[in-house]
Amino acid sequence: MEQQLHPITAEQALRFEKELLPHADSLFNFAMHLTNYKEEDSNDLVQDAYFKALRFMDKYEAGTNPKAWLFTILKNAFINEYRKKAKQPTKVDFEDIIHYQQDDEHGASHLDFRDDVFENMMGDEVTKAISELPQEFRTVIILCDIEGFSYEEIALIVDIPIGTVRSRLHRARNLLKEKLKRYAEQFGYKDKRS
Amino acid sequence: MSLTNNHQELFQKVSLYLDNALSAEEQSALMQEINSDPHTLELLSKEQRFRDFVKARTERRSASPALIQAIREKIRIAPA
Repeated sequence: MEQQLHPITAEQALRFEKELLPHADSLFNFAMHLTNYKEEDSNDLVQDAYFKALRFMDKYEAGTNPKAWLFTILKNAFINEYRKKAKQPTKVDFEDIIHYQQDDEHGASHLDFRDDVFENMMGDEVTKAISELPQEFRTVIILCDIEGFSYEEIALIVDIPIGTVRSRLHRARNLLKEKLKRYAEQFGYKDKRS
Repeated sequence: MSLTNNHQELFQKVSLYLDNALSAEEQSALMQEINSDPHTLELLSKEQRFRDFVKARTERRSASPALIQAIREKIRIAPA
């Protein structure tokens, strides 16, 4: 993708290097989750986000929230560029949601996370389980539980109301617990409780 | 209110607390509840451990040096 270069001041360049570039790892990991773990697409997405940030450096105020700003740019770039290209547009896994909603109707919306079951998981079960969540739920879990954004920041990044952030997180965490529990059972983790 | 509803309500408070989404008043009320009810503390501890577990076990990679270099190469400084 050919990018038109916009010259910035030396002060802006320094601010870019010190305040924006350090978030490249977080952005890259977020991009991986958005692109279903395609490294090349993720690299392109991160580059695209930083190029846009360079273009709009005059809009960035020093001391404000560079990480949230970058994540918003990246999320919007993903929506604009990569969903159009995807052969199979992102779809919600309705089976998971229906299953969850049925559980919720029986008042079992909180699943007991038993660390004696999970403590011996040594592989990539968690990453795999997160990758299998519907993207709307995967996004909020990554933004909150991995990247540490607040509800308000997530609402701005994803462009949804704070109430929706809260409810999606609640559902996402319960879906994740359910998936991890199934992995544990599948791999024969024993119930150590007598 | 049924036991299940009480549990759900308590879990919601604990979850909001861990997300730093409670007001100072609500936090104070929850702390009082934790001090008086071991079950509440256990619930909080379990949920905290789950979140720590997820964060620790989620794969994180570094952006490649080539990516960082490609970004840096696009910086153009305007003449003074």
